Amino acid sequence: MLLRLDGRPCGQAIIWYDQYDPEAPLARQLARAANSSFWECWTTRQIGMTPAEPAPSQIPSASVAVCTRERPDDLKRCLDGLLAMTGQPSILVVDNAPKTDATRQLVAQYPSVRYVVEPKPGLDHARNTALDQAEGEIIAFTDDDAVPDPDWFSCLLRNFDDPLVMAAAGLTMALELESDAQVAFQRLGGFGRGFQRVIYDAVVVDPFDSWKAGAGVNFAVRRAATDAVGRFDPALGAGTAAHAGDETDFFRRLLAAGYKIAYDPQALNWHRHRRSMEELEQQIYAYECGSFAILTKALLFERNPRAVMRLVRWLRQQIPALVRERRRAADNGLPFSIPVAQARGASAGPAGYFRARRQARQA
Amino acid sequence: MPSSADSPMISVVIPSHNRQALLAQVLDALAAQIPQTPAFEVVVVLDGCRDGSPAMLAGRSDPFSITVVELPGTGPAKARNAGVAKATGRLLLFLDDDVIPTDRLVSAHAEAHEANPGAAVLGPYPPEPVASGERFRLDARRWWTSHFEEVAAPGHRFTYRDLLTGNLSMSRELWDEVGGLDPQFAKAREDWELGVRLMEHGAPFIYAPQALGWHQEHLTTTPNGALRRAKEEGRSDALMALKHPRFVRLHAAPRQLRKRSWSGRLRRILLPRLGLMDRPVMAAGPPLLRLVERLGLGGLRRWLDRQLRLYCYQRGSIEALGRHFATFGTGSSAEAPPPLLEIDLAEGIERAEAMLAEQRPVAVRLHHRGYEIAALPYSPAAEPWDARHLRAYLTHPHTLRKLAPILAASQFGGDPADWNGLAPLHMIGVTDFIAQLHESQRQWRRSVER
Repeated sequence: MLLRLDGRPCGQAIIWYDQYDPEAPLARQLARAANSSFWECWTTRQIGMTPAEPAPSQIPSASVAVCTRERPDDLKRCLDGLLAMTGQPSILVVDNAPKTDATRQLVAQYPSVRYVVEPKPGLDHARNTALDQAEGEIIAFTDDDAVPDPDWFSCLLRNFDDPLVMAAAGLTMALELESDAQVAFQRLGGFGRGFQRVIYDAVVVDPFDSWKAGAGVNFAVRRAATDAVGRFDPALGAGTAAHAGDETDFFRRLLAAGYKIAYDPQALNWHRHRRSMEELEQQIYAYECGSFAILTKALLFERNPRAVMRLVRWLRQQIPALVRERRRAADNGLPFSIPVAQARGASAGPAGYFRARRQARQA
Repeated sequence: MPSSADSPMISVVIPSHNRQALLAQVLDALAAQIPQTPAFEVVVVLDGCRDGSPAMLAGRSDPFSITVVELPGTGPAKARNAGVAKATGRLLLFLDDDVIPTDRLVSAHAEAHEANPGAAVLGPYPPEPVASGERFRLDARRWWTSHFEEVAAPGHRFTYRDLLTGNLSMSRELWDEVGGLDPQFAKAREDWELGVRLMEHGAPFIYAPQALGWHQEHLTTTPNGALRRAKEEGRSDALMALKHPRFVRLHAAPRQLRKRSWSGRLRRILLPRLGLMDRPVMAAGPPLLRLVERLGLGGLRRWLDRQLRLYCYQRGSIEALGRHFATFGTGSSAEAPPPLLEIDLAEGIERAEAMLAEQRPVAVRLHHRGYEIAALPYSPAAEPWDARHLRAYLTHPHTLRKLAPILAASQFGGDPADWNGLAPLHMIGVTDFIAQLHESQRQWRRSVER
């Protein structure tokens, strides 16, 4: 459950339906289950202080891009959400290597939404097309299976006052927790990156840990970022042989070049997590595959010795985790083993990246 | 330029050392101030300039008069004093030669003085936003940015350390009363030392956010310069402790050198004899740091950087203190503990604020019916505590953690002790994502177990 104070998302409480006691006051039950960021906001508010919010001197021109592939039902919910936001940005739908006409027909029902096709498969091809086609200085990206909160877009934009902030990311909560797989994904952390606003730079976070700054489902970039560090790498991301790592690699390059990334939990959207355990396992596999594709890229194509240190650190954590898994099944109620899925993904990463590069060149 | 009798005549004092191009940019920016800006003159002190700065100044035609003072290279403290000696204005505005003013800077200083006569007005000069992935740059930028964020935060309690001379103004009268800069702090801490005397004098510090200048830090600070500066800071901090005995305890170097560990002993023996090594260390340090950084050894680089700075700092301090550096500050300083004001927050936060405003204490103990919440500490050469500091201090994480159970008990019922046991309260203020992730996983586990 998301907790808001004065409309601002500030924390979460986790209570199962059958644990709710209708006799006791709700506020007390929520408070007992709340997390630290809620307590910080609440106590600050009780003292009579307002949390320091970024107040931009001017809002930059901006638009929203949705990269989609054959998910018309989800996309419809996403577009309805985008059109219900406060402050209407222009919206662009990038249809990535479509097989059917469903997406085109759906977008045709929304006269204010622009539609472009990117025939080359791969999320980063679609993202780069969005950068070319979308209007404005800032381009916000969301996934077709996500729905924005009414203030999502304006909260993302307010972070761009500092010219060194090249990207901003927001908080993503679960749209539904119906299946075990969705609960399991949320338990593992989901797409949220905490409830505290943080400005990341290469001092706060190792550029190779840039995934901590945000997720691809909820972020915005400054157009000038592509002049500074180049475009999204088309050999990464969903739809390629590297499976993932698209925005993580972009964030990594931004941080390594000395730019900042703002994480602002007020920029809230909701994501429909994968419903089946098979999809969840595939997702965990894909993340590790993408992260090893990035390591491969850094080591062989950028000659960055940090990648070796990262690999050593990964082995030091992963081998004990695998051993632990062998000895006793983990208590997370999953039908598969996370460390094994990760190890499989990791070993597929380097070859996947080479294949994806070849595909990207041929396309 | 219009100049009526009652408008303040401002003197902008800029010391400069071989930075002709930057100095020209600063003057260009001063020539482009908004039209409402009161009349001002500029005094440029060329301190050991051998780069053609005098010719550049002679060739300019600006809407203000420029007075040039030439010195042989005596350091910024003496240069600023010499500049003031030639200044005619009622208001002195100090700018560094690498701080490029925005167009409201001069008028914002003037307005702040109109609203707060007799104050020292501090303008921000954060680093010019130029990206660099180098660790040295990132660290330097962070220091400057967070310094000005702290000063700008509502309810900030000013101390002598907030006084920096890169973008500062005060009346000529106040300058003369406190006696200007002390020339023995020739190359470092001359600003803090002036801050100490201004605080003792009771001059209020005012932060003027509109008086913004952009610090061209990326052009003027270097890793080699940082090590030289660390040594100067060691020297100046020692001189500060000698001049103002209240700062003896704050001077870190003798304490570091008194440590009983083997490394402390080694330092005590070796450091005083290493004078000849200073130059080689300062020359070899930065390339070594760069090498380690390129190899991707972040932790080693941090450690090495700290050791190098520590070495330079302690060497500077030893040079200033002489043979008795290790026993410096160990003598019995029979300083009376500062008077402590007790405030019970149970009587209400407004009541506490009224007490602070009325008594202006140097130190406070805050409690709630005897349960200690926080100590508003004594610190030397700082503003006395005031009403506007209280709520800001209460939002510090360590204070929030103690307040939350009390407030929760009164809001949601129960006893503060029930609420005190809640695990999330101990994580208030944690911004690290991994820590928050673990917290969320604990939350899930708890909810399943229940």
